[in-house]
Amino acid sequence: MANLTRDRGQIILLAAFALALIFVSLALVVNSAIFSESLASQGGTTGATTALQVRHEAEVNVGEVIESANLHNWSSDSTLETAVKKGIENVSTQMARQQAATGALVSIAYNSDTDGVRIAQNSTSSSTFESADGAADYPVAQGVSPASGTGTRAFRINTTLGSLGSTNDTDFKVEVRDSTATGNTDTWRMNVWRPTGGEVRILVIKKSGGTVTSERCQYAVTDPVRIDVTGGTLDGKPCDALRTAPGGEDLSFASGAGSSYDIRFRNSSNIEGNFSMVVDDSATVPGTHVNSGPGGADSQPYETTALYSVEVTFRYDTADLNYETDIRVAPGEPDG
Amino acid sequence: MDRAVSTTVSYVLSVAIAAMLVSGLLMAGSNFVTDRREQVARTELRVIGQQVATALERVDRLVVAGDGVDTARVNVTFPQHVTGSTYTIKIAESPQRVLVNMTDPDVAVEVHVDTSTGLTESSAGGGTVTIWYNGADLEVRNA
Repeated sequence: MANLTRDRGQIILLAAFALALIFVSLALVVNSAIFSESLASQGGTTGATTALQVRHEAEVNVGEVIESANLHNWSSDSTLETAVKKGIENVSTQMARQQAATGALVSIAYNSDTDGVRIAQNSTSSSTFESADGAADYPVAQGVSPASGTGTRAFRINTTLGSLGSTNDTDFKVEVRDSTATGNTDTWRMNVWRPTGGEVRILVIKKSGGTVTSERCQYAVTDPVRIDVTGGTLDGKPCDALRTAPGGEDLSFASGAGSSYDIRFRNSSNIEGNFSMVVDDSATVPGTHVNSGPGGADSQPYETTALYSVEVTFRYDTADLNYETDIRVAPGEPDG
Repeated sequence: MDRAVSTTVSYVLSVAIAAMLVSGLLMAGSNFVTDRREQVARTELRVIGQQVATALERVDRLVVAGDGVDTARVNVTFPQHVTGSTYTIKIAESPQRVLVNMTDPDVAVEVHVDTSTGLTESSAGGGTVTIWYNGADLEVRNA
């Protein structure tokens, strides 16, 4: 018999070692698969969403700086500019401090501004929207031709139910007409009246390039009646007549009236209360109908220097994301 | 008693049979591992491709939201090696897609992207990858 006792099974042993090596390398390969699966479930950071949220906050805050400067520092263009620059610096410092707690760097810097004119009437007693010289039909601003944007923003009206006309002949109208066109071709018109005791109706008719679109909205309201013409709300509720027609046409303020337009008030003895709007600097405000500065009687509209829009540079940086962009802030401009 | 039987020959025969069986087993085992490696590489590259696509869409949102964007940049970190080999990440202009491929094993993965901003043909290796807006399009490069 051959002596096979000691060397039996050499090949099997070698094979076993080789298989063991193979399985170990398989384990390494599968391990990297597990790593990539955990990478997949991480879902990435929400960096971009936060960047856009902070950008929106910055836009809103700078908008409030502009409104505050227009209300308090309107004595001259340079006072307005200084006020806005300081306000933006404050906003930048505060937001930087807030965001630093979440590990992000924020900065907002003033770039440039566009001048405008604020036309308003502040009466606390009941006074109509008639002009300074008592006219019920008069132009409020002529030749509004902005280089960018819509040219009018933050047009808000506060009135009372009792003062509104009750038929659509005596209703208060805001008429926006193309300055260069003759006749009734490119116009946007808003009518406000009170068809029944507790309801206010707004009707908007737009004539542009031969097409006529109109839409109305009506709500039951109680005093004070608040209408945000450029924002498109009546008593805080959305008003389709000031936004989009059912067919999708844009009905926002001054749409369809061309690149240079005039704003007129008609039947302004049939509405009482106060209003405010900011138009681009290109507008001419007739001095006979609108006082220059709020020094005159409470019941008369006046105009002051104001800022129409401001351009700022917004920077947002985290460990993984860098974002720098220009933002044009014009609070209350119709979104259309 | 065995006749015409040599112990050497029977020994060699049994060793040869054992060796053939064992080598058959080893070949099957290593084929199995290579297959698994390729599958794993494909899954990982697909994950990387989708993360690059997400980052592209993120930068796209930032660019679209601004009025005049000066900088929009996002850094994403990936593993340097996938199953032991390096890989390349490429973005293609039209149709808009992300291509990730490696040579050993030979795997290529394609992920479709939909961005409003255009894409520029560019590539980057594994590791930390930056996706940035170069003023006109989105580009990818190593940080």
